[in-house]
Amino acid sequence: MQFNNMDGRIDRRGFLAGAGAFAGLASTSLAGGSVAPKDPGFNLVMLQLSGGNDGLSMVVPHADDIYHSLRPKTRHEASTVLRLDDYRGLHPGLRSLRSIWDDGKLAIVEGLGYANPLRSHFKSMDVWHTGHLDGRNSGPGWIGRLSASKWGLNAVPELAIHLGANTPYSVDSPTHPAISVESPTGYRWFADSAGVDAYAAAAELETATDEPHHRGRNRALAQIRGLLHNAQESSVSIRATSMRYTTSVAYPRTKLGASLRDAAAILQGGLGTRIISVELAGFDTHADQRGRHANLMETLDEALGAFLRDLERSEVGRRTVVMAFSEFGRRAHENGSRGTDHGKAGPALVLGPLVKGGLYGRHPSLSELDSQGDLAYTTDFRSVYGTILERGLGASQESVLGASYPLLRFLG
Amino acid sequence: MHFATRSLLRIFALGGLLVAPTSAQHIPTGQAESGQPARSTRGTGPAAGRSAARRAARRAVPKAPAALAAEWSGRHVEHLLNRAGFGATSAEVRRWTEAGPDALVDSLFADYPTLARFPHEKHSVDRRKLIGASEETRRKLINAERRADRDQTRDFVDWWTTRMAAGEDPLVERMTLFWHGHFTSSARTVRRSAPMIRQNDKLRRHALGSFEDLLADMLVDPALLIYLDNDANKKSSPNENLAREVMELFTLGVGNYSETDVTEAARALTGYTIGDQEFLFRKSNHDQGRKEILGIRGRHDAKDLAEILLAQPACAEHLAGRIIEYFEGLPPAPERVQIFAHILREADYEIGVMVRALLLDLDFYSPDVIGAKVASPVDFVIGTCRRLGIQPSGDVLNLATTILGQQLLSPPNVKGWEGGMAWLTTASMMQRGNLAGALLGVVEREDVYADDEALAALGDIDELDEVLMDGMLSMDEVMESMEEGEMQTDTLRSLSISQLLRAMRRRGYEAQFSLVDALQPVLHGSDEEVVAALSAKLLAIEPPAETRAMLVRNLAKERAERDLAEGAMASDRRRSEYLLRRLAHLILSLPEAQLG
Repeated sequence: MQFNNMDGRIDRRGFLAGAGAFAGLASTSLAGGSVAPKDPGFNLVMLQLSGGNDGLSMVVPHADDIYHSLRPKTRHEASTVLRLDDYRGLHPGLRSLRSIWDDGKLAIVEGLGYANPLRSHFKSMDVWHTGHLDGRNSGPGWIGRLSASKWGLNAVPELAIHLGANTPYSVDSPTHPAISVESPTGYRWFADSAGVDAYAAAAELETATDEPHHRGRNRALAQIRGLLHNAQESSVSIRATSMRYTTSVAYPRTKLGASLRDAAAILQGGLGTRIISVELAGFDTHADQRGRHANLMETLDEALGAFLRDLERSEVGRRTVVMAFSEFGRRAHENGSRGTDHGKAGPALVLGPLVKGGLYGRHPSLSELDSQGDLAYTTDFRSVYGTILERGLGASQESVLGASYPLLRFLG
Repeated sequence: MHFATRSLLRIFALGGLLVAPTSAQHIPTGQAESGQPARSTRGTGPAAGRSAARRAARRAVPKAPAALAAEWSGRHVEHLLNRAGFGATSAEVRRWTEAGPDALVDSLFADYPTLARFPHEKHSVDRRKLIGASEETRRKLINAERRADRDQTRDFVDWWTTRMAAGEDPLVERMTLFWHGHFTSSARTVRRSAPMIRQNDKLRRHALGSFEDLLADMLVDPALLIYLDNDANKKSSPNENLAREVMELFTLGVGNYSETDVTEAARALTGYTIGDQEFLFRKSNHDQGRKEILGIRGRHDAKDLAEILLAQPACAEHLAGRIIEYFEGLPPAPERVQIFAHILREADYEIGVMVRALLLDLDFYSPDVIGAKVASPVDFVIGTCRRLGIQPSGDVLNLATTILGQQLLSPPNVKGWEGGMAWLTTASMMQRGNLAGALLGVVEREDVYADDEALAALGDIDELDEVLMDGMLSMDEVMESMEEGEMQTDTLRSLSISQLLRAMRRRGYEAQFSLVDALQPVLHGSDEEVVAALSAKLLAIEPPAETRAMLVRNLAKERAERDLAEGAMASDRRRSEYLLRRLAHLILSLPEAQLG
């Protein structure tokens, strides 16, 4: 752990006791010899489809006979899918996404995965969250590394925000943890102003004496005080931004809809936020997949449709990229419970007002499944990260992912 | 080198004790003191008789190391009861500091007269009544049944949290909670209360017993079979969800089995299904063919699978690692995992033997471990109530832990709750403080709906009330959507402190306790003494000097504003009580209050 002396405290005034460690960090990242590209100023919204989204049901290879034979009970008829071309079509429920595709603002990156894939939700999600095959054993999440290496001392607490419960490991960092907001209106500690002042003072405390027999406690306290500090710093700004936001766009009354509305408010609120994370869970469809997956597709489609319309309304909004991903795709062959088991490769969606729509990566061949009956990946998922880092956020892949992956052309 | 030598010695020492029971059978001294009558055997389940004698013999090990006994203090007592129970009251700290480590550990392992069971019934709609009934009658019948079942879930959680708070059998409840996060099942998927309640009962009965028995019981547990789709696992169409998680999470850990092992294990588990909320073995759906799991060939079924898994060295290691990390809050060093895996194997997977050795291990009391673990929402809420001496109703406790991210009977996914620093975010940090404020009676409904001073300072915000109300679900709506299976953890973004305050009012909660009475002996003393006494009462750990100094400054300021002189707090009970509660709210909102 190279950052373990830091306490996660980010000060918007840009100075703090551990400044030296940040300087060290910056030089470490530069030591790789990479130079940060110019910042194109995009914002990233990460939409995590938790549980393993069935890619074959989202981007359906309707013209592939093998698909229909692999999926007798869960398949979508060629006549019902929203055709993209002679081979593939979107799930019947993805009508808004279809029109975003028609507008040329939806990129579908096919066949994403990584070498020696893991069918465990947790291990695979860890790989996606860190951009590293060793998962969290390799260190902080990829957004945490990005924040530390690109923004360092200049980071504001609101730089990366997770909206909802279950903060993902991608935004984890001992020095630059994201703030987490479950509900903007309740993002607050209740007390009168004297109480709030005392609470704020508590966040500024630092270990006064070296007490070896309190080693563990003091280490934990340093980190939690950092959290308290960030909570204090962001509490008013988040609430005010959310409550003041007005939009003509009607969002669906779903959790995802509410989260994306908050995301639009925050991105346009001038808080310095560049990364937002949201989640849609429930994709682990081992049984009775069709109905469950259709509900999820509908929820996804309605929320993303509204969000994109809202983003079009402002310059900041237009410079936003949404990336919808899942920890793995599902088994090519359906199981006996009208569902599918854990699989490997799957597609991701990248969309936004300035995204160059189209197909990226390569669709895995259904006639050449791997020895375990899975779709073999054709494109490393870190190419998507790399492209967003280099072309969207102005960070070098090398400094965040520790390697360079072929860039895709959906941005820049 | 030093560590390896010490480890080896310890293995030998423990191994020796394990194999040869001491002649003097140990009689728990904690029982007389706690007023609990003795009981000869703990278990009443199917496996209880089988190895009761063997277990009793093994219960006789080990004793606290001399170094621990010598330095034993209130800090150690509090640490042990934070981790093995749900926090300690001041009275408990005093009592066990005097009685010593062996007495305290003995009391945790003491046999209590009855292992409580929650009386419940199996709810299901009587299909005969539905035949020929009108659409409206059918819907009414179904809804009534659902409501009754939902109430039963609520009553059960009420019962469980009350048991945790009562602290009668803390280690058993602590381990039951551990197993609930290990052999996870969620009410959201299972949908019926009886299987969830019965699973919890099994976890409790095996909590410190044989892992072999527990695993066997879990492989035929209706809630687990439903949760992991094994009711759909048939010979003609295997579903490998359960098979995978059994290996990955319950026994071996990733990297200790192959994908082929998963597929083969899934075949062994075919036909293990449920009917009318009970376990059912459908022979016709079971694959009786030959399988090869982890190199062992045969016509394996669930029993064989369990045997094969238990024989893997990785199994005891995985389990030991999970238990140590749960109790210590840190991933253990590989050498330490080996030591405790060895203990577990030598004891034929008797969990209690390993846990006892852990609680008496010097490293469990190391400066890296004490006071450094983030309290889970259950720890925080139950511990706070125990230390304050208050007993809110179970549904208030349940709502409180749910707001903080831990809804009992509904773990977020098959891995259970992640724990550690993941409990704390900028949002949950503030919510913990709000929750403590609500329990203390200093945060009230009016505060939540009152004009937001901080926002007002930024400019006019109209209709704040409306904004705050918008998007909030009532508790009934929450339960409703849970029932519909729509509830994901993140639905709870709408749950907030105002729901809790509403529930508290509905349940007639009153913050009935007196900090003035509790602090009577120091009210004539200095601010420093008052702060020391109050933080000792409220916190599970010792606060550092800088925090105490900050609290003293705060108390002095608040006192001065209310014209109360230092050392004169006894003169105005009403004002002093208010002041102490404000200070208590601050203390319970501090980073220090999130550790245990």
